Amino acid sequence: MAEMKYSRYFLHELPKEQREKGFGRMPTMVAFTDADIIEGSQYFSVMIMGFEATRHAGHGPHVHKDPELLIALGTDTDNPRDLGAEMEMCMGPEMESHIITESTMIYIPAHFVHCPFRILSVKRPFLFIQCQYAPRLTEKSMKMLVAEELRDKMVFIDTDDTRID
Amino acid sequence: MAYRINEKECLKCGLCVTECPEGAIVVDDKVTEPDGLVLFTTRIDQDKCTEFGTCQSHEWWCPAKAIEKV
Repeated sequence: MAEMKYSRYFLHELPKEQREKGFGRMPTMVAFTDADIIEGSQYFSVMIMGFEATRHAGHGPHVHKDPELLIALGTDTDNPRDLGAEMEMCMGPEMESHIITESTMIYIPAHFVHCPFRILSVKRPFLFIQCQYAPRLTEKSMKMLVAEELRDKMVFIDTDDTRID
Repeated sequence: MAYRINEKECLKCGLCVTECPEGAIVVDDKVTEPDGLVLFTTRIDQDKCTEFGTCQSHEWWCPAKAIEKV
């Protein structure tokens, strides 16, 4: 598509540098933006989850410095409430398990422990949208909540602003 | 009134160290487990704590709710 005056506001593909960090490394990522990509933007991402997503052990428990909204959205236009998949989201330091089979929004307060998040089965690919109330993704892993043998299998991210020197 | 960290509840994540605006939460000890996980034993430096209560400003400021008002 020819470059136009406002083309920068249309996000189709991740720039190479974004493919190499955080969730950008995930092949399921469609596009994301943050304040580094569009000045003044918050962090938003869109992924499409297909059958391959069931092969991963999931995203390990973690917190963000700011609230987050997660949206799992089914793609059956005749029945948009049906997620067409089954996923597990654990909540709180107790890791209370929630099995989700309907299109759902999940509010995550700042500093609230959430995940593991796992896709258990997929009948129909669905959209997974992540919105953080922050200009850039912040994330601190909570590996201590997971049995040692599972730590290498799950995805954990620690952004620079949560590290202690 | 003062704030303290309940060691039994603390997850040793160290998030409080980076979040306290007064820099009043300090690392007393740091242990690196064989798989690279780093655990921080922290305490509130009472000389630096202004008792402003940021650490109680919302329900999950401490992910383990380990900071207590005493």
